Order: sequence, then structure tokens, then C-alpha cells
Amino acid sequence: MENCNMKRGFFFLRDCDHPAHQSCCTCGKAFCNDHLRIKPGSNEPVCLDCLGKTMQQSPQNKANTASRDRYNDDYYYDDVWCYGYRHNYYSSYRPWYVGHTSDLQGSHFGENDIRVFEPSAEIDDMDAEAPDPEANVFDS
Amino acid sequence: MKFFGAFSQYKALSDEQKSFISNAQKKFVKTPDELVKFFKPMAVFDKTCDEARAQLLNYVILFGILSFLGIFATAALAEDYSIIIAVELLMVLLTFVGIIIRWRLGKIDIHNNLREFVVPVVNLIGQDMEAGTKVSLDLDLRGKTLDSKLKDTRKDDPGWFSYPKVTTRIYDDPWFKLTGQLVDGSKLILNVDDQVTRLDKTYKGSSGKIKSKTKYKVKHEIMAGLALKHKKYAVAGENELSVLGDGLKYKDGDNRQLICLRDKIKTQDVDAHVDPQRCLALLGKIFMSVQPAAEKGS
Ligand SMILES: [Zn+2]
Ligand SMILES: [Zn+2]
Repeated sequence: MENCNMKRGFFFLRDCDHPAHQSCCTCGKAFCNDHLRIKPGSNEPVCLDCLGKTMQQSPQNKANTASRDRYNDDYYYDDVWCYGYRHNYYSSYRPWYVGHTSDLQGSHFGENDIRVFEPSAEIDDMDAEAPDPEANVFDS
Repeated sequence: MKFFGAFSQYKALSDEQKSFISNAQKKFVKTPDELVKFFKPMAVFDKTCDEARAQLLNYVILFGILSFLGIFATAALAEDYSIIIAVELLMVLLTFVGIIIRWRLGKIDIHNNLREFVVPVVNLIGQDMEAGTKVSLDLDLRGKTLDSKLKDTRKDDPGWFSYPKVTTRIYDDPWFKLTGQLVDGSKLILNVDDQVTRLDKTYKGSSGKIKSKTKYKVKHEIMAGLALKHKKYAVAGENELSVLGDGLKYKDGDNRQLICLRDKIKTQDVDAHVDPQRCLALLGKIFMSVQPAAEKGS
């Protein structure tokens, strides 16, 4: 079975290592269930990238909060918002891609959209400093 | 009527969620996922609550006007007394019921920053964290002008019967602090600190009448910092740092370099929420200014 084609993350794009389940009705690529939603108004699966993009464009904004219905709440308080938002965000930001450019095939991203963050350097240390939320980052 | 929905959404919240709404202050150490799950029903409720309060305000105004008109109607149409009086009483009653329900909802209302800022920011930061990693989140949504947050009071009083008299109160409200570790090992810190200036002015109007008004000035100060590991990122050079502009604070340590950026937003509305995008833009700016360590010298 093919792997999910989603590049997850916001500042750091990573491959999703879950097996794909269904294809997105908009872009036609295959994704895992985590990265698919039901398209509002139809019963078809749509990927977070495609759904996020359409939701960003739809007039759900502040001026008309009263009409932001239940579905839009789910959108704004859900992962979909992050995926929709990153489309706009990437016009001025090039995300790190933790992987090899050859793996970008099949995704929404091209080589020029990203900056490669060598995954090889990732393995060495997850690290001596345990993630301590109390630690003062200014001093470490 | 939206208030039915608001009350039923409130009822469906867990005890922990209800107690967060009434205390509005808590320190969490949880995964972003857990936090979003915890806040989401409150966010949905808060939105309904705001809509219900707006709707109730309209009704209160409408019934208020009708009961006012009713007084004249009672006087004019004296023959049909009983019906008119009944309608008049009903209008007055509805006005008061509206006011009371609206006040009750106001008691369980939470600052819009929760749904408009906290939820999206936590959600988005969670996208770049290893599953199961916790963040520490310090929230204080109790209110910006509590006595305990008062930092300074100044009184400008020119003396008896002299105007204007101005009382300036300055409050400091650091209401959001989030720390965590991202997938690249960077430590993240996000703070929002609001400075509220309340001006109470008593002055002589052009007609000679003494008037008073209250004005607010709010300054949201957003701070975003990333402590980047030397193993992962090349130490930023002066050129790279100069691009980051005025709000920059930089510190280079043994293992990490710390890059902090600040942004200030001014408003006159104490209830205004902070735009999450302003905060996320700072992080993007920092990440855009650095290079991976591996590339250095290659
Ligand atoms: Zn798609
Ligand atoms: Zn996936």
C-alpha cells in the first residue's frame, strides 16, 4: 500500500509515515485518515491541504462572525486551519523539509518551496537535555 | 434564541472546563493535542455565548423601547386598559428577563483571546512537535484591569473646581506564556504581555456641565523566542541578524543561540483579541534568518 502523501508540519515539513487509505476528491492523491476530512456538502474525502485552501478562501471572517457556523468552528479550532493557513504563510516563508528532495514527488511542494533540513543530522541526539518546560531558555 | 444553545453548550462542559472558565487562570503541562481538545468546547461555547449576548442586547433594546412606548399607549387608549397594561407589563418583564440572562451569560463569558489566539497558536505549534511532547502553558484570562495587575496610578488634579482632573492607571497583564520543544530540538518561548492604560477624565463641557469619561489604551506586546542548537543551526551572522530589525534580542550560549523578536500592537479596546498571525510571523522570521549547521563550510 502506498504511503500517505501529506507533508505534515508547519515550520518543518515531514513525511507522513502512515499508509494511505483513500484519495482526495480534489487533488486525487492518496492520504491516511489523519489527513483526510469529509468534504462539507458532499460525502467525499478531501485532504487537509485542499480543504484548508478552500476554507481560507471562503468568507468566514470576522466581519460576519455570526454566520460562521458550526462547521467553521471545527475548521478554525482544528488542524485544517493550520493547513489552510500555511498556504498563505508560505508566500513569505520557506519551510524546512526534514527529508530528501526526491521524496517531495507526489506532494504539493516543489524543490523551490522548501529548504532542506538534513534528516541525517537528526538522529544523533534527542538529546541530553530532557525537554524541561520549566527550563529557562535564556540560559541554556 | 441563541442563549438556549449557549447554556446547553456550557452544561455539556466538564467540571474541569467549567472551573477553568470561572478561574480563568491556570498553568498547564500537557501536549498541544490535549490542550486543543480541552479548549475547543470552551471556544465553541464562548462564541455562541458572545452571539447570544449580542442577540439579547438587541431584544433588550427592542423590548425597552416598546415598554417605553407602552406608557404613552396606556395613557392614550384608556378604554382598553386591561390589555394594554398586560402588554406593557409583559414588555417590561421581557426587558428585565433579557437583562438578567445577558448578565448571567456575561458571568461565564471568557476573553476572546482563548478562542482567537490560544487555540490556533497551540494547535499550530503542536504541528511541529514530536507526538506526546508536552508544552508548558501559563494562561491568565481573568481580566486586564484587576487591582492585582495595577502597577501605577497618577492623579492630575488642579484643585477644587478646577478641570480637567485626570486619573491614569497603568496595568500590566502578562496573560500568555508558552514554552516547548520543537521537532528540530529548538526550544520555543512565546509570551504575550498587555499593558493597559486607563484614563478617567473629569472635565467641563462647552455648556459648562461637568462630564467624565473613561478611555483605554492597550498595548499588546508579543515576544517570540527560539533557542536553536548549534548542532543544528549555524550561528547567525551580523547580516542575518540585522534583517530582523529593532525588536531583536540575541544571545549566544555554549549549546544554543537564542533569538527573540518582539512585536507591538496598539488598540483602544480592552476586549480586543491578539491576532495569532502576528505571533507566528515572528517565528517564521527567525527561522528564515538562520541556516542549518550542516551547510556551513560545505
Ligand atoms: Zn487534496
Ligand atoms: Zn497522513
